[in-house]
Amino acid sequence: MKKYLKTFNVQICLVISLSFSSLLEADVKQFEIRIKDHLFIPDQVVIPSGEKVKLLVINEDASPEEFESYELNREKIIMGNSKTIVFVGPLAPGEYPFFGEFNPKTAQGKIIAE
Amino acid sequence: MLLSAVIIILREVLELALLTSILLALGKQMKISARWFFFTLIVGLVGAWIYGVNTARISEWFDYTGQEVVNGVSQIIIYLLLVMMVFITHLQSAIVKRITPWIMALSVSLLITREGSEIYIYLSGFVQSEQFSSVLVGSVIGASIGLSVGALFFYILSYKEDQLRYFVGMCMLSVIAAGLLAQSVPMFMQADIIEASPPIWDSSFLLNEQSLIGQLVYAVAGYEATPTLMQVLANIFGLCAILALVFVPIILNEKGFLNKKASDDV
Repeated sequence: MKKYLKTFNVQICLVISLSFSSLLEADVKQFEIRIKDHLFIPDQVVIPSGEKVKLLVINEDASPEEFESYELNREKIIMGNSKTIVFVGPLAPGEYPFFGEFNPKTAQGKIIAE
Repeated sequence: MLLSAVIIILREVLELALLTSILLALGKQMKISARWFFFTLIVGLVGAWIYGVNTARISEWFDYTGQEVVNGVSQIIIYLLLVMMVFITHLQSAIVKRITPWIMALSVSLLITREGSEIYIYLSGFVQSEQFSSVLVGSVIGASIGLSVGALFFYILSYKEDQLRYFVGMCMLSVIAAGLLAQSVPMFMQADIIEASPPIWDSSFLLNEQSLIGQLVYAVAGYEATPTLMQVLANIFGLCAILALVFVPIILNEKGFLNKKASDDV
């Protein structure tokens, strides 16, 4: 009986901790950016200032791209036909350009924190 | 595209070429055979290929933050290996000669794996493209410039054995190692492992990070125009820790606290 209670307690703790962590995750707003034909779509993303957000970057091209921003201090390779997550912020209100380092002439965008 | 390829590859190769040339020069000063480098080159290139081919899979680890975790941890490991190498140079010569080549080999092969995988990914993205020839030419130019700078530093630091060259080499090693440590901080912030904080200054007006020199200083010393407090602290701590390991034993020796002269091992 004790053994079952112990297992039950562990399960409850697990459920609570998972719910808690998912609640924490839910607090972080997610914004989606797609890479298609070496362009960022959308090329402008408006995010709340003073808040950490999660960028889901989906590369729909077959070739890899590097999401890079000097203003955000972020750089990350996204392989072809794959997706990744980049956390940014909390940011002060303003504009933060980003670009695709492998195709800098076309892959341009900016994050607007307001 | 050609110029872009030159800058991207130069940035990747320069840090690697400088670290390798400094370690080879220091090894020569310490009378350590350079055989470790050929072994390292093979291991590093194979590692770069494996990492490059598997980057998509690695990126999915830890809820899509695998790339930051692997790169950040490998940079910290390289820093710790370099700290260990500097520390043991003050121990007795037999141990130094036995362990040092392994530490050098491990740190350089990790860096070749990291930088080499990025070059592999970059080039693989253009294989099917019409731009491939200009990207390839640009890459060869960028790599050649980086390797030439490395060869030049190796020559300057090693053509004559003296204490000044040894200390200059150690100081350069400290700057590169501290840069590697500092560069790991934004990776962990990007992965939300370390809480992000706002930049503490903006030195873009002095040296723009987007300029060629800014990018090269970033590659070599981890320069950021808008660093966070933690990046600055990591850089200062990283630099001071190695410099202390280099100079404190010499100062103690001069004051008579150590029997054996530290530079005897040089």
